[in-house]
Amino acid sequence: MQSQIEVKINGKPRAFHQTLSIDQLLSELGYKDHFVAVAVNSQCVLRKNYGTHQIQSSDEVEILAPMAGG
Amino acid sequence: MWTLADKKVNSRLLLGTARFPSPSVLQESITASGSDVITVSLRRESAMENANGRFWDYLRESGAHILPNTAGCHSVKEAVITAQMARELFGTNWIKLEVIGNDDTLQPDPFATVEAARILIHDGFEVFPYTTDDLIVAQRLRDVGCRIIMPWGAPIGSGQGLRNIESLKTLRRRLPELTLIVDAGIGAPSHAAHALELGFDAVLLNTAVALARDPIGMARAFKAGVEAGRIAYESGLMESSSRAHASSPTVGLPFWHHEQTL
Repeated sequence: MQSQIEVKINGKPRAFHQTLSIDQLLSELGYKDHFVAVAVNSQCVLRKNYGTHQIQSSDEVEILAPMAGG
Repeated sequence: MWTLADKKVNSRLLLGTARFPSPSVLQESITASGSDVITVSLRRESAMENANGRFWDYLRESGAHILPNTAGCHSVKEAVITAQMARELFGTNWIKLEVIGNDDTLQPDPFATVEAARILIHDGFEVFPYTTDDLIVAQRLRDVGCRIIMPWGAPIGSGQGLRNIESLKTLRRRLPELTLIVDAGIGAPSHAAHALELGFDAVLLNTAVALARDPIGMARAFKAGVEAGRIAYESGLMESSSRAHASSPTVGLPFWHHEQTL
């Protein structure tokens, strides 16, 4: 039996069937080219680590995208 | 060409990308402004909305340098992590540092701005701090390693122009070694020209172009204003005087002038 993990994505609770990398998380959420910035528990994650950084239960994940700004 | 941080750029107009009526108008406005540097922000966006990729494609096609901002941050911690995320996303160490201290005036928090600047410079960033026209704050920013300072002309989005010209003149006079960019409050090309006439190296603006009836035309007008202001500064403005001075020669006046004085 797989253990479920519960995390917060941009402030909203989400559950997944297993731990997953940031790349897997972004695919799961539908970010096609993964052109977003990610922080986990208020720590910026380097893009080169998206494939290896594993999301753990209770993690708070922030996903930010480019937006118009002044 | 002039040097902004580590880059050679042509234009002295930095343009924000918010509040434009459409992406195509934004694109054409960037082109019309001649700007080499455009600002962007980072925000939460769901994959379903899927607009981020397209927005980024538009900007990438412009060929301009990207200056990400930390707009909306109210603490050192928020600003630092936002800057780090921007660096990862955009592949630039440039960051327009904004730490807001008051939500009504959007006045920067000078203490948090200086502390965030110190941390970010230590982390390898080129920090473009948004600040007020206060000399001491600007000196503190310089002391922690900022090579560029961006004092406001007036509150963000107000369009009031340069509200405190004497303070801005003082900044320019006392900080000759720094790149000074008037950021915020500029509402008209004449305001931008004035900033350049005072010796500021550039201006950063957004709303005045984005909310114009014809943003592309206004971008062109700002381009001309900035260029005029810089040429005027380099050419040397005349000293103002409290007395009138006739510009036409007074010798050789015709006889009726002499009769009036008899």
